[in-house]
Amino acid sequence: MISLEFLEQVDVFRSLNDDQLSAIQQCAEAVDFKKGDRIFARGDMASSVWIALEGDIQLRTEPSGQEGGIKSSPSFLSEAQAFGWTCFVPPYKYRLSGYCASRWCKVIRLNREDLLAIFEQDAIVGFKVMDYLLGAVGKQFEELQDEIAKDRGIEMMSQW
Amino acid sequence: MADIDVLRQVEIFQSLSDDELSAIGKLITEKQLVYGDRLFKDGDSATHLWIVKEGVIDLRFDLPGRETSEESTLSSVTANKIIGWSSLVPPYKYKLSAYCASSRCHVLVIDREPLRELLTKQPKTGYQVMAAMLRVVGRRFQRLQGSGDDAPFAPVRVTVHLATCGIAAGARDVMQAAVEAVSGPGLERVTVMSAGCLGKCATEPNVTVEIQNQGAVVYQKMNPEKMRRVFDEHIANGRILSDWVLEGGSI
Repeated sequence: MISLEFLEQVDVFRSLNDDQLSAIQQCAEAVDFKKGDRIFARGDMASSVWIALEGDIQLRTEPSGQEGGIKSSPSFLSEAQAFGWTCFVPPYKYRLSGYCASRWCKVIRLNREDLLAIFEQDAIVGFKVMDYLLGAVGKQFEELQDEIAKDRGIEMMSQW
Repeated sequence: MADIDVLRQVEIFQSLSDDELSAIGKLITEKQLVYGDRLFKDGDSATHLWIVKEGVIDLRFDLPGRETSEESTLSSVTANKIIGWSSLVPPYKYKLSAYCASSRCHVLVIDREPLRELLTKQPKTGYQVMAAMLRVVGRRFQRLQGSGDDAPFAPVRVTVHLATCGIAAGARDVMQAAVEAVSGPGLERVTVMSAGCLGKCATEPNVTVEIQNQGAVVYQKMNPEKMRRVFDEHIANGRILSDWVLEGGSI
């Protein structure tokens, strides 16, 4: 079973108390992968949140339905980092693929339906988790927005 | 205080009960604006969450030392949608500037601190609102990213050419029709944006429709009714309206 000590280090659960962490612990499942295994695929229904426990998890923006290719620089999930907010956002599909990039990997899988049941039962957990995820998505949104504004600004200035 | 019937239609409050809506309604003040008025500017402390009740609000990146222009609009927000979600996300700064882009705009304003306090004290409301907010911001992020090629996210870009010549010919009304049409169900993959003159002033208002993996189609002499037809026929069903095409579309 995943320890409470580990769960409380995971950013998204950092503000939860022991009882709340215990509820999360009940639906947390550790899964092992070996190098090259695909953990989840871009375009698949996003039914789980994933947390890196051990090993390197590589996130790739490979074209939908094509295994292995990398369209842009990959990023890595470091230990205790969560991935999979898209399981709470329509159309509930992963937008990246995740691969085990070290000799072996251990990841925690949290089923979306189990999490939603916990949130319904204890709205404080739901509020805190959604608040955290909103912050995480908001940060990515603003970074992308900055990039687009910069590109379009340069394009506009070059037309003057 | 805002009417709960109005709040019930707002994208982030749709799952709330009447009592919850009433509590939120007490935090709201209303503001009227006219075309060109600025609600907030890039870099301001994000102290308020805003709801568009009527009209269109443009979110723009303003270039230093230059007057704001529709060319720098990244997105346009219409009735019952929120702007200023940065007020609930660290570092609580607006990252774009917001301008009234229709002749009149009516907005609802919620102060960040009392809203946060309410959501924390009433976690059931807090959970519902934050979950809805995540869906809204997540969807907008995916749309902005435009990288999805899986239905319903295959990108479609509708560009209304809003230079002076276009505006004089009625392009602003065409833009409003496009923004209203894109807020309909099933059009999450469609982005409406503005751009400058195409160099075809005689045929303004011009609108370019680009569907992924298809060539661009430029429609000429558009009006709001024609814009709605383009959404219904071309964008929703892939049928190009050849009679109105200026360029593209294999004609």
